[in-house]
Amino acid sequence: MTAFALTGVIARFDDGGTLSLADMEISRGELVALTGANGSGKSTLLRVLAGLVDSRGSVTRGHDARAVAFVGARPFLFRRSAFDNVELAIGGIGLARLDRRRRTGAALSRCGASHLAGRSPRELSDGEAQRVALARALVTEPEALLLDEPLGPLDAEGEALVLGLLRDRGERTIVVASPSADAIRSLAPRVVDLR
Amino acid sequence: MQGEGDVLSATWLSLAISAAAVAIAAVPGVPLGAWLGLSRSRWRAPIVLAARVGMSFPTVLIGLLVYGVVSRHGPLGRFELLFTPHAIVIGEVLLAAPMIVALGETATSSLDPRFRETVAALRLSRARAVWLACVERREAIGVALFAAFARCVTELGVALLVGGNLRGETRTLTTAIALETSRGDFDRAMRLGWVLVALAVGLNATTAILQRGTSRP
Repeated sequence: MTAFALTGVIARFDDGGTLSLADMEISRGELVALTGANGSGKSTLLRVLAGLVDSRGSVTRGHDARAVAFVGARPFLFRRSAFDNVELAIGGIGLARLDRRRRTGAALSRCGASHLAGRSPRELSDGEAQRVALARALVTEPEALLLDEPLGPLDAEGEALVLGLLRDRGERTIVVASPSADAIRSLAPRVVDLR
Repeated sequence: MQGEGDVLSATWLSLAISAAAVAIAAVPGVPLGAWLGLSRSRWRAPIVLAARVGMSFPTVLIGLLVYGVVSRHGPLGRFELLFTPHAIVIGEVLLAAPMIVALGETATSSLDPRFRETVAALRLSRARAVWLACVERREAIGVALFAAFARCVTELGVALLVGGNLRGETRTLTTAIALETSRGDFDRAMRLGWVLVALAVGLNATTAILQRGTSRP
């Protein structure tokens, strides 16, 4: 089954700029690494898949929009604790408060960020913020995960965590953008080089 | 004005009326301003323009408008609001609201672009996004509220036209100054003026302290 399919897609930015994207089809449960130089459109492609950028052409999404999680290269955290940032992502799905807190704690723990729960974004390094953002994406238990340069600010332990996430993806569709995807390339059955 | 009690009464009334007006104007004004700052709606530009024009609207014209509405033959005439503090509150709500909307819009439109993307990526509702934007820019919104409060405390046109300057009932600091000046008691008017200046300095100092917080990335 198709998770994402792009045909003749042109992304349109707020400033009026456009970018043509390569045609592509990604199956459910597939792990795809997007590589390419800066400006090749990796991040834009992820944003189009996540429905965050306006586009012309045909974009097919096999997953429900709520089941797709996106983590940007420089994730934005709201001015509240790391715990609240993660819990926010599951605030509107009808879970009881206790269940929300349990799932939030589990997601932070999975990303090695339990000790960051009470900290505000100002008190987090880039790598720590990335861990919290990953937890915020995972807490929704998404069917598809779109990661933009996830290894960038992470230390060795954080890298191992992301690579573990890719390795143990189960049925989850994962698309990862990375300029130098050596570590990711070794795990991804399919690497798409955007030129 | 006869004694210090009158000065206190006028000061208290000025503060209470202005606080009530800003509180009422903030209820729709803050979320509307935040929504405008985040919105790409075609209504955004005309609403923001209207709010900015409203910020510079002469207070005496707003007073005149409210007078027409609350006077005996106006649409709200049966409520007998003319020459009551309620009428001044209505007028000052019209003074405060455009300022809160316009400055609120400015505050949230300058949010980090990643804010909007994150809200969209998390599929948060519009109401939730507006609330989060207000929290993110709370110092700037506080500045907007204080600026609106300062405008209300120092305005004369509305208070004079629809308040009627009734001693102990609708006499505010600004109408008291106007009265003392018309009576020729310039010294007393100046003393009341200094009270107003002290209030303005206090409000501006508070605004400046809040503004320090708005410079965060």
